[in-house]
Amino acid sequence: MAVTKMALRTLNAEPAELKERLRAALDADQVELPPLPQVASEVVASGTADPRNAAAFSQLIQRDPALAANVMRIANSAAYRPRAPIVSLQQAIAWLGIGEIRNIALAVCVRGQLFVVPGHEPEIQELWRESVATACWACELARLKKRNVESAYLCGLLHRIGRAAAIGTLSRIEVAGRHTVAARTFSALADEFEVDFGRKLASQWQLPAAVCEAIHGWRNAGRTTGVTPEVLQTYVGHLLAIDLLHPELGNLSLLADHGALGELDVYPDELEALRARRDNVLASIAQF
Amino acid sequence: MAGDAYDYVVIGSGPAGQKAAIQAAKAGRRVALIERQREVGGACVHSGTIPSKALREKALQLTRARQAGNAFQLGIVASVPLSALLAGVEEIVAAHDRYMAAQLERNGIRCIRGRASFRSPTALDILRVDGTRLAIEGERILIAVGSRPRQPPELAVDHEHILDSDSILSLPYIPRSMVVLGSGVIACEYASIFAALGCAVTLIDKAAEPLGFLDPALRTGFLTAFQAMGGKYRGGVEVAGARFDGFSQVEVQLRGGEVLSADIVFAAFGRVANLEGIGLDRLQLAISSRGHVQVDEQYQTNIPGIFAAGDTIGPPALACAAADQGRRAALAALGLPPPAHTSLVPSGVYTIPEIACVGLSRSGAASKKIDVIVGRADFSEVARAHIAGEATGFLELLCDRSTARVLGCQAIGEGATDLVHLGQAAIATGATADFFIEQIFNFPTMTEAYRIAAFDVLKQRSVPHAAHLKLAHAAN
Repeated sequence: MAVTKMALRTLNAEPAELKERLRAALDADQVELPPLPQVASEVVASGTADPRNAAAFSQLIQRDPALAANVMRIANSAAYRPRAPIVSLQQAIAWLGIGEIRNIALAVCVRGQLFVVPGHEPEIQELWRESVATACWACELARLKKRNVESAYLCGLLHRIGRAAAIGTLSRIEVAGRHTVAARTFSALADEFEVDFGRKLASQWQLPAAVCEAIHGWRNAGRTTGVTPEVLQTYVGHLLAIDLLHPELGNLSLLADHGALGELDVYPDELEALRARRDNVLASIAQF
Repeated sequence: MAGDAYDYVVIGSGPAGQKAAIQAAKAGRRVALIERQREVGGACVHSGTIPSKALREKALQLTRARQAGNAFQLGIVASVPLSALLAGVEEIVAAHDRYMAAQLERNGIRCIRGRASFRSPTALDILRVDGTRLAIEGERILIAVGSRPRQPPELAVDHEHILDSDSILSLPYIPRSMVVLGSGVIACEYASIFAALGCAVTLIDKAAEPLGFLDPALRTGFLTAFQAMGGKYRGGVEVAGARFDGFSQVEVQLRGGEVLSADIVFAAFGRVANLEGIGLDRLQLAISSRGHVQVDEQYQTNIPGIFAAGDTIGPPALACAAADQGRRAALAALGLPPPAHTSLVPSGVYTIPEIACVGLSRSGAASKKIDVIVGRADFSEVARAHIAGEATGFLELLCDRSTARVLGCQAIGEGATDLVHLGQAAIATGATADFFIEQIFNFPTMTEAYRIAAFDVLKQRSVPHAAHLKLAHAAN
């Protein structure tokens, strides 16, 4: 795959220039971003497990042997504890339900497109685990408050695609320029361009409005008012994910400081009941 | 834990709690209102009455747009996502929330967000959403904690495939097919809304007919309209369970072995009071076998100083009744004279078409052995109904045979829930059917239906009773 367009191939490793050129390339629409595979596109387009699309969706997965194999591998993982080995997609659907299969297929596609960056495996893998955990926690929150679960999953899974895309682009710049960007500079630039790349991807992939809002607004959800429940769920899901993966950071205290839990009407006992489901979330992360 | 003392404390900010708090504040009392949710208004505003009526309005607009599209040969999109239909609902709810909050503030009511539980008949412990606690005291306390959908043990409501009235509006799409379990108001309202939106709806219940509390003429009117939209009703059927098949359908098992399939199942088996966690066990409050707080005619519980109102005390579980109960409960609690008692509570059923009734019904007249004349106006005779394109439906006036005094009024058709209020005023003021003939009303309006029904009453009164009975039998 052609990684970036000519405008980015001549960048050197000077942080200021790198930043300036990256900004110019973004503004001029010169950054090449990966397309959304058809299966994932189908999931985000309907945004839901609409039963009308179930049959067509399973046929779509079957037409992509690599994806079907990945879905089967995950369906057979410990997270889902099948009674007997699952050997067909139909069997996987019967065991897990089309809604779960859709989530798995989306995750496999998005991971394949965005969360594979040679040379930056630890960071991108961590980002992936964080995204899956956020999606799982957002789903739990949505179930607790009787809100739409599919939308919560999408928002959680995709809330940091901007950072993944920024890392991918910076990595391709490194490869094209045959030099290495200092780790600190790399991380700072990924931070700075996360939202811009997220906005670009959201537009290119035609993501639903709720997901776009989550991508743009999750960081400030605890500090601003008038935020949608999906954005709040993503924010709380993110903090719970970080707490699950890195309890030593003490990120959960942010939940108490900010008003997101209150905005979602989640009381302390409900939060504790939610956190008691951490093993389910860990199992979901492990399956990928 | 900071403490505070109030003359009157209300738990719950739904119609009952809110009106009680305002009534007490207007009487000059120091009032606190405790609400567990971020916004005031309760289920009525956030998951029940207001959102469902807003969706109903959107469904009607869509139906009319399609009809107009056909008439003017305009292409109207056949399928609209449910989320698009609900797009304006959040703003409606937010507006409602804003003016209610402003009303409470204007009246100097202290709103405390948290979960209340009784420590004693005059002391409450409040757990705030941030985990901190607050202790307050109230000389008089009103329990107005509302209700939630009842979940029968044989049915696992997962809020994804099997939904209840709290989660139905989180569906982002209009399903192709839906099985609605139940035949009460909520079941029939959603069944008719989704049928109007093009979903194949099957209503299932043990009862032979839906909306069993209504007069047969209204039940038949509803069923006819529902079936015209493609809806089906299966009465005398018991549900053994329901489960998602994992792929695309929910299977509903009926007792007897039959299995029905649908994209979505909507369970509407009534509502239960939200009494858990408020420390009632510490008070030994009298609770009915159906889980409602028992109260006397002044809405006082068996514990002096503790009152209850709204869905917490059970039927009629209407927002309008709850608001009235709240006001009366506040006045009684504060030792103030209540307004004149009225048993006139209108019932509004927001199905498509709307149904409303107030006062005496046919069955009520029969059981009380009151001889009534039923004057009827079909909307097909009302000019305004034709202009509005809503000429299906009728209005009935139930009048005392000997005096022509209006005792009851019922209607089915668009605008019925508003229309019935004129009949209610006639009943409350002791008017006779003549009132509707003597008065001059705007024309064309739906009020013309009252005049037509009144003339029908007059016509029947001119027929000797025995002859009328004979005619009635012949008509049956």
